[in-house]
Amino acid sequence: MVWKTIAGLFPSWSMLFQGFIIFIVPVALTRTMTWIGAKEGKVSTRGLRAEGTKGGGVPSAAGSGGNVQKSNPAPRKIKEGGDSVSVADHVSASMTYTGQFQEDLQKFKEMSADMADVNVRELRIGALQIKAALLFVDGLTDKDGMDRNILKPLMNAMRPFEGMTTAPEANVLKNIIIHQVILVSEIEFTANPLMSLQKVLFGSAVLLVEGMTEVFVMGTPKGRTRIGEEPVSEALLRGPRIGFTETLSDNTAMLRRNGQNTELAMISFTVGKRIQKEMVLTYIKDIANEELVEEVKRRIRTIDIDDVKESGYVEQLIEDNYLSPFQQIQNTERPDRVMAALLEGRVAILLDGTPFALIMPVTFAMLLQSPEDYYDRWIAGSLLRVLRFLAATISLFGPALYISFLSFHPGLIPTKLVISIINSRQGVPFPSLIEALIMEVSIEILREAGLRLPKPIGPAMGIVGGLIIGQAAVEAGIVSPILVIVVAVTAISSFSMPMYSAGITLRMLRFVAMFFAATFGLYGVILFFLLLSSHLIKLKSFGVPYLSMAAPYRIRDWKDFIIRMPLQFMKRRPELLKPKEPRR
Amino acid sequence: MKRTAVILVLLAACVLLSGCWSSSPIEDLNMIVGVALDSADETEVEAIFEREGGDYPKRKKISCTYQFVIPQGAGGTPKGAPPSKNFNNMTETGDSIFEAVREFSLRTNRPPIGHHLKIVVIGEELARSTNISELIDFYARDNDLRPSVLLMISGGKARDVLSNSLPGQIPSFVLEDIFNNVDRNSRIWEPLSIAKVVGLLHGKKSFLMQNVIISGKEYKFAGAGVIRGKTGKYIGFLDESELEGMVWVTGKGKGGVLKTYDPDRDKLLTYEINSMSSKIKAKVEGDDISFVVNIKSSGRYAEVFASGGKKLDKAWVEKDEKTLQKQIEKLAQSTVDKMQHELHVDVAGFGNSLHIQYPSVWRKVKEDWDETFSEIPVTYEVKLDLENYGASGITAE
Repeated sequence: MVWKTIAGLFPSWSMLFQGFIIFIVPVALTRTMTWIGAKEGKVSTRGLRAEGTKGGGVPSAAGSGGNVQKSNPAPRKIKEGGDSVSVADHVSASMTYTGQFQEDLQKFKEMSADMADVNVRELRIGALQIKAALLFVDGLTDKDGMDRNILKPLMNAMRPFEGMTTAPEANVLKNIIIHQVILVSEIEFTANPLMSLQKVLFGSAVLLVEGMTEVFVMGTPKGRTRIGEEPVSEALLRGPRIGFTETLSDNTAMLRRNGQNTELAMISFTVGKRIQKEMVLTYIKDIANEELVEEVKRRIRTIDIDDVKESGYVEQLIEDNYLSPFQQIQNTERPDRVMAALLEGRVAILLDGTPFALIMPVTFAMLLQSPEDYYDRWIAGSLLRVLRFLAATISLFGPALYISFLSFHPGLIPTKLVISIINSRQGVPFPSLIEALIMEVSIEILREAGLRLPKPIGPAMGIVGGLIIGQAAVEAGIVSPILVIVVAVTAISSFSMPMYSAGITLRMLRFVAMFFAATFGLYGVILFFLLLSSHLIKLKSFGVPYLSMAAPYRIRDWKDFIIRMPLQFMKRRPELLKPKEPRR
Repeated sequence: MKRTAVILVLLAACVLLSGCWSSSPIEDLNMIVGVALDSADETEVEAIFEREGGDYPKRKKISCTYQFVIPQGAGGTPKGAPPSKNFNNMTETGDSIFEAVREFSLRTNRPPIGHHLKIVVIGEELARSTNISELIDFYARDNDLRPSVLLMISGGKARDVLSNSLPGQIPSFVLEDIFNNVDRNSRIWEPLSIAKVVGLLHGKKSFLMQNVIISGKEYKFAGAGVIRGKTGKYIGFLDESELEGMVWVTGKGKGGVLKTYDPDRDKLLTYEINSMSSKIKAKVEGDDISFVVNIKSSGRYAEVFASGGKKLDKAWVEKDEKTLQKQIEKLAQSTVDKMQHELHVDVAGFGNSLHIQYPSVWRKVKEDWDETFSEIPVTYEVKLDLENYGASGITAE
């Protein structure tokens, strides 16, 4: 009798199974994340990052913080201050120019034997007919300028050598040439042939003169530059019509022009092990938090890669959590946007060779902001911002809500709408998930195709795809017309994201939401939302919580969150960045 | 590596095994939009079913008629085609309403769902013999159905109310929407939802239910049925003008018409109600209880046939106001008379006022309130304000 009572209290198998599942799911998830974290720690130097205190003292959220990998620190030799360091400098450190013209020239020619684009122009300097050679790379140098400012003065140099019969001492000759002959502002000297070759390859012209153990390195780079046109990826109706270009110096100059301020710091780094590129870290000295700057510097130093092709490489190598679907560093082509971020106390990175600058740290709200919010009057700006929040919600949950309403909660749709939905779905052979997937996937393909196509065809493609396929699919009875509306509204909403990459994130998450909806209905959508929220709450960008303003909750910063208050009220910089000078 | 694989398989299993939990595609559902309850009266279809062996043990007490929407007609008919019938009624006779619903699952492929049920019409015959609380128990208990479902009573057969409609219309929707005309006519009683009825029945309070009648393919809201709280049964009927009086006593109207005749010249005088309110005041002196009904209304001239007098003359207007006040008083009085002396119930909320104003007195009389009420004198104070004379100053002369 007693045993029977006790046995009766023992839960049934299905209950035990449920309990087991409830236990195993979170454990399995945690284990997987730990495992991924450990894997990642082994293959990269990312673990190094976890050492900081504030401003990124966050271990990369994957959890590698637990087991910081110190085994593979691989400290890269990167000098700050602009002058690049040759990879191979230790190989031939002892090699120098001898001063014997023929010998040196020969040496140089040997080194550049398999570089057909290195040109050698021999000449005689001035009245004394001193042997010299000008070395440059075709296409990288400004030939016109070189002819006018180097060759012509050198060959015509009569007056400086008046009264001389033989070539003067190397030092004297050097001074004469610098001071009286060459019309180039940027001159360096080097005695190292390898170094000089490197300079030549980077676009400088090198002058080799008989009797001198050092060569002149003259900055005459031309580099095919583009005029800063209006950025394609971030078009504005109102605002400066200029964007960054591929030339770093142009970009830094643009920033300088944008903000004439003596406190604007530009720190130069060289990144890339094999192919070196110049990178500039910029911030405003008396605003940006020092710890933040230090953290960014530290992370830049951990970059260990052959070549940094685009700022996207930098972004991916220094971001906090590479598993997150959300970008933790903002990229932009607009100098005004960068400047505004700097004034809020953020830090930006410019990389040579790309018009995309990186801004960090980033919060979620920034992805839905556009510089226009500030250029327009505050009511219009706020309205647009609210609209964008709405659009983001639709873009994320639109199809998911459609699926869950249709498959799970017919009672939540107004009666008349239910009738017309049922009517329109008569004869649709697929469940709503498959139906929605068909349309969503095809619209994603369309979008991708439209992006790759040449500009004149792109829009036509959109029309053909969107209108004709949609119409045909409805008529063929594959999908219901209501779904076409949902998909279209969703697609338009995701276009309204001011940050293209944020739009992609939402597009991807939309599919996840759809599967959740198909499995559990609205309950699943809410589960998905909670999952997303818990991820976002944990996510940090350089030590700043990603959802800052919403959580942790800072009512003061709300002036510039969902609505934008009039500028007169925004007297303080965002507190979440802990700027040195809180007042604007 | 092996462990990772196991973990991944488990995770995948969790997602895949749960499948589409309790998913039911919308197009596979049969929406119930209306229900009619009658005393047992089998249809021909049912009789044949029974003869062929489709029978189960039951007491034949209630005939439930369910109205389903046929979606083809409701949302945009094919071009050119005449509007077809867009609803479908099915009747099942038995004693359990729930069993009847589930019995439909044997008769249609699409399971009925009740989320969009709008209206329950109860036949007078059934209401006379059965406690309403038994009839609505299922509707109040079920979690699919909304507590906002409206209840009505029909003088004839409830099934017939749901059977007829003009082409293209769904009877349940038409009935539900007529309630929205409350600002146009004061002879509509406030909509009575399941949620409200449950409370009234539980408190054993008498109440009114809108009555609907049909003629051919048309409906009419005509008066209201009176349900006695103690028994929960239908005991009588207020006709249209008595219902109008009831609306004035309770002040629940939102607009409508008040018609009377000029006493001197026997000419029509119509008043459009803009607003009305009423307050029932209880007076207690010793053991004597009495009520004063304070009715206030404002509105405008709608039709005035009487000629003569100066236009916009204050005395003239005041005279008309008096005539109208008298008419209201007459309406109210006849209704209260009927309640007190014929039906012996209080459905106008006199008891409530006493309850609020004199709780101690109420406690003494509440046991047999409906009977007590029949003896209590009621007086009326009507204040009417003609604040708008209309655009025309010219009367029909």
